Order: sequence, then C-alpha cells, then structure tokens
Amino acid sequence: MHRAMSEATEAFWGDHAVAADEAVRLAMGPVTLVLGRRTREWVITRAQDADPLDPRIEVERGAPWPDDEAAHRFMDTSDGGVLTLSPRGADRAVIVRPRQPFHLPGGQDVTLHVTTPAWCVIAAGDTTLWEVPTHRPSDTWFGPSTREGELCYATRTRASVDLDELPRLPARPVTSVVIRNAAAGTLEIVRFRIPTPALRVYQADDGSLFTETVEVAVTEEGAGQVEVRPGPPDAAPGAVLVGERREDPGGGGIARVFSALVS
Amino acid sequence: MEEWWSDAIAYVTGEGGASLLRAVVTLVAGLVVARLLGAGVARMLSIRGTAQQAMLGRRAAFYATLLLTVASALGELGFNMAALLGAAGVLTVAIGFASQTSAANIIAGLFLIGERPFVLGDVIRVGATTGEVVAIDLLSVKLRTFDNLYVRVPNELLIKSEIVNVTHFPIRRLDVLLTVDYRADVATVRDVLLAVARDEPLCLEEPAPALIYLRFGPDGQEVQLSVWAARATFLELKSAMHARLKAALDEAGVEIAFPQRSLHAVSSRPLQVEIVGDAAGRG
Repeated sequence: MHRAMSEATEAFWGDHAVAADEAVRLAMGPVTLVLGRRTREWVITRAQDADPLDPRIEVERGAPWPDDEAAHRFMDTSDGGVLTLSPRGADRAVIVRPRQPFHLPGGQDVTLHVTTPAWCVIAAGDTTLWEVPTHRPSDTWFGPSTREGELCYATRTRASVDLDELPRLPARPVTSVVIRNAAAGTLEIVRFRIPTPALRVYQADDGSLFTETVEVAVTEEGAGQVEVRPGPPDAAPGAVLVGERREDPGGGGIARVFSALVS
Repeated sequence: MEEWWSDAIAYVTGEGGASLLRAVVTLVAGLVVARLLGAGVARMLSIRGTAQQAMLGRRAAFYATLLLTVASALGELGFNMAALLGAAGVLTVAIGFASQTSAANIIAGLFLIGERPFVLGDVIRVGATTGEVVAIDLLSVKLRTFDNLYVRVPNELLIKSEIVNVTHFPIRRLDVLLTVDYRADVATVRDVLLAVARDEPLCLEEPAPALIYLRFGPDGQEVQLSVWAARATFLELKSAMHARLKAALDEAGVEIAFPQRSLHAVSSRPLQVEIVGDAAGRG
C-alpha cells in the first residue's frame, strides 16, 4: 500500500509533460486540476470536492480540454511544455480544534500529530504560474478579542497521539506538535495554532507528506514559546524537502499560540 | 514725470533703496527658510504620525516663518509694527466674526486629526452617507461613496455627529433576520441554519455562529443567525449566506413566513362567502 501510494503521489507531484493542444487531468484528494497546453500558453482549471479527507490520486492523460468558463490562462514564453507541481504549506496559520478537549497534566509533554491541507504550486520552470489549495479550509479568527488577532484557517481533527492511527492522505502533510506543559496545573487544550507558513514540507519514501516539527512550551499564563525544529520530523528522518516555507519562523516564537485554560 | 523719476532714482540710490533691498533679501531668505523648515517638520511628522499630521505641521511651520519674515521685512521698510498690529487686531475681530464657521471647522479638524476616529482609506458612515475617506483636510473630510460620488463633509459636522467606522476592526458580524412559519420545528430550523454557516468557508468558525430565538412574532417565529466574516469578504459572505439559507430552508421544507392573518368569526352564524366570476375564473 505504501509503495502504491508512493508511486501514485509521485505521479501527481513532480513534472508533467503535456503535448501541444492536449490536456492532463490530475486529482489528488479533494482537488482536481486540468492542465491544457497551447503554444506559449497554459490553460488550467481547478475544482474542489466537498470531502477534505478524500484519499484519491488520479492521473488521466488525453483528458477533455479545460472548461472555458472556469479556466485561467497563463502565458509561458519558454514554451517548454512541462509543468511542475509541488506541495507547500497553507498561506495562513491553521487553528486546530481537537474534537474533544485534551488535558495535559502539569510538568508533562505530549506529541500530537495533525494534518492540514497542502497548497499546490504550479510552475513552468522557475516561474510560478499559480498556487492553489488542495482544499480551501474555513476561515476562523484567532485572538484575545474581536478587535485584535489574526485571520487563520480552521481544521477539526482527532489530534492523534499515535502517528500510525492517523490516515495518510496524499494532499495533507502531517505536522507533529510537541507540547510541554511547564505550568503546575493541568493544561486543557481547546485549540492551538500551527504556524503553517513558517513550515517546510518534506516527502517520505512512501509518498506521504510531513512538515517540520513544532515545539511549544506553555507557561502558567497560558502563553506559549514556539519553536520550529528545522529539518525532517522524527517520524520521517529520511524525508526529502519538496516545499519551501513562506516566511521565517522568527526567533523566540509567538506569545499566543494557545487559547487554553490552565487549571 | 521727470520730477517723479528723479525722486525715484534718489530714493533707490539713497537710504531708502538700501532698506528696500534688505526687505527683499529678508523676504526671499525667509521664503527659502520657511519651505525648508516646513519640509523638515513634515518629514519628521510623517515618520512618527500620519500623513495629515505631516501636512498640517508643514503648513504651520511654513506660515509661521512667513509671518515672521513679512513682519521683519516691513520693519526694514520702516513701518511701525505696533500700529500695524493694532490695526491687525481690529481686522482680526472683524474677520473672526465673519469666519466663525471656518474657524470652527479648522478647530474641529485639529481635534479629528488628534483623536483619529478614522484614517485615510477607512469606510465611514455619517448620517445617511457612507463612503471611503479620500482626504482629511483642515476644513472638511472628503468621502467617495460606493456609487462614486464625491461628498464633502465639514469637520464641524463630523465632530458633533455619530461616526460609524465600518472598517476599523478586522472582522464583522453579519446578522440575518428570519421569520419562519409557526409550523416549523425549532430544532430543525436551528440545525439547518447552523449547517449552512458551518459549510460556508467564508464564515468564521470562531467566533462561532449563533442562532438567537428572538420572539414569537405576529407573522411567525423570528430568529437571528449571527455569523462572523473577515472585513474583506463581508459583502461576499452576505450575498452567499442569504442565497444558501433560502435554498437550505426550501430543501428542509421550512417556510419563510410572510404577513398573514387568520380570521375568526365571532358570530354563531356562518360567514357568507360569495364567489365572483364564473367557473372559468372570468370576472
């Protein structure tokens, strides 16, 4: 299964040579892309299904030409005939809400594994033509009040402690979040923020995607010192870098990663 | 004519000419200093403050320096400043009475710049006018309405009116008021409306959507669905939500109530009903 997934994901991510006046249909998870090539021009459509956890991977050569109504046209003076698809993290932070509140006693730590939708970068050579989400999550607000905070994406997850329990989905990189409760009381984790734009994306041998590991130490006040551990995660030490981060994680971290109660 | 010309030449070549030259030099130098000082003040204020404060600072520095320069030049020409100031004082009182409104607008403008209830680019509502702020000047604020009209609002009106700054905060709440038929099940209505909010990507998950049961209205059950959206996508969400809510309610068989009245006959005799027109419906 892992080998099949590896081959399938490799069929999606990577280079796609398309002959002139032909189209290729690529589906991964909830997103379907149709790449049509004309002389010095690409015609691309994107469609999204409702199920964000769709595991499908489909590649169809000689597909029907992209629908004109929904198509985007991109000029490509190099006319190399090859498009490269690569994954990247979301363009905003993702707020994760475990389906059930999670309680972490004082002085302990836990590693939670969550998945977030990948963004697909479509490039012709070194030129990025388009960047689309494989699944467009809901918007949400993260902040102390409606007056200050930031606009993020939202995802609800089981927040698995056991990585093997997490379904490996081709369009959803796994992020490991190490949470250390430095307070004396129990930390109730209702939601937490993953700084997705600051994480690189790696691909393991079996084709599954991972991001860099996030480490958070939570203080008595509920604020967290966040650090991004560079390089592939422990779960996939040999994973290869396939997607760059969008921004520098910065030194020191973000004060309000968590909106949690410490009791 | 020749006498006048001789007098003129005598003046220019004498002490008077020297005074005139000093006055002109003072004026020119003062103008240059005023411009440089104004530019410097504007640059300093633009770093620490807003564009409006920088503009105001530049003008204040320029005109203050110019006033001193003119006074100095007049002094060089031999004018009695005390007498001039006295005349200016009288003139000021006269002008003050005549320009009360302008002065009030200027003072109101200074307060607005200091208080900053809005900045350039904000969308504000003043009375019946809603528009984007395109200029904040000493006497008035200029708005561009959404149908592209140019509206000038005096500062005095703004300082004593309620101003609604639509774009001050990054997120906004949308309240959708609905009246559903009395035959509709409340739990079903709640589930349908909240499901629409949950499935709409532009609707923020937090703050969470809320359904508030308002009252038993004369036409039906009045409820309010409150959802939050980012400021930039508020209008898009407003349109999308109304359309999706209507479709979802239709699919669930929940009728949106319209004004209707039930007639109850108080008499024991039956109401007589007369059908006007024939069976084909022709009247």
